[in-house]
Amino acid sequence: VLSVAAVGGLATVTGCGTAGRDDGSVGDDRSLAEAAMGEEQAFGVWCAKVARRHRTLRPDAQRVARAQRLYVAALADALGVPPPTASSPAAVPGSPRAAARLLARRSDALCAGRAADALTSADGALAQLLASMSAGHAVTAERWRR
Amino acid sequence: MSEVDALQGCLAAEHAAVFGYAALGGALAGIPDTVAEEALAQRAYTAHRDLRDALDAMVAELGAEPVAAEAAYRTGPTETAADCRRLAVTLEDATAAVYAFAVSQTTDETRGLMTDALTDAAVRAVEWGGRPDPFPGLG
Repeated sequence: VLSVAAVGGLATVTGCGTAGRDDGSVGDDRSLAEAAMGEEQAFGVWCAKVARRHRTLRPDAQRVARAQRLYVAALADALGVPPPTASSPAAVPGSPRAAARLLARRSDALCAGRAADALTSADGALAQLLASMSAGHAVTAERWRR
Repeated sequence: MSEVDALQGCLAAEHAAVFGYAALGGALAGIPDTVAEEALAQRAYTAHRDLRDALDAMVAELGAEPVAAEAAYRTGPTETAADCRRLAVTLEDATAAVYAFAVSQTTDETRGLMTDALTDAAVRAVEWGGRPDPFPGLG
């Protein structure tokens, strides 16, 4: 009798090949990943600003900022480039509640953005990374809406 | 691995999830003060059952024989609400992993479905009290 947890493992350990359209769209993937990296990096810097400004949001905002650094590092690694210079022009709302709402909305937008990127990526491995990031943003948005 | 193999992996995981949530629903019914958990389990059961049926049809459409469910699966203990929450997180993590992998093996509309299913599983895992993972399905 298989364990319920083992079933997923069976499907994932047997191969890690990637599906690709093989249509010469590598350049498109590169610009897609670069744009995604910029957005993820800007959001991470903004979350760090939220953490500095609002003590009540600090632990959770710092957690999101840490996840953002991981996303930027993963995309930089996929592209073979160093992470971009940190910057985020977006202002942080003065009220913690408004900042939390905006964080959830920005997470929703990034969730949709990475899902769209995953759909258009020519490289299967990059699509997998982008889809996982999209799911991570969905979790963040859900937690911040509560 | 081909697209159909990846979809078969998802289908196998959904068979296990449907079994697991059925067991979990039965267990929760006998545990006091678990109304919220029962509602969440019912919603998750329905979602996994719908995915199972959709995957079954997709595999058949690709000309393959959809993988059948096992007669039974080991679920671990389901005596307390905490046991049930742990099982639910396990089910969601397992399905998130196969969907993340399937994203890499599919394209176009099918990849979109895999991405949506990955996202839904990741959100449910956290609703059940699972620790948020920056990279759902890849951990």
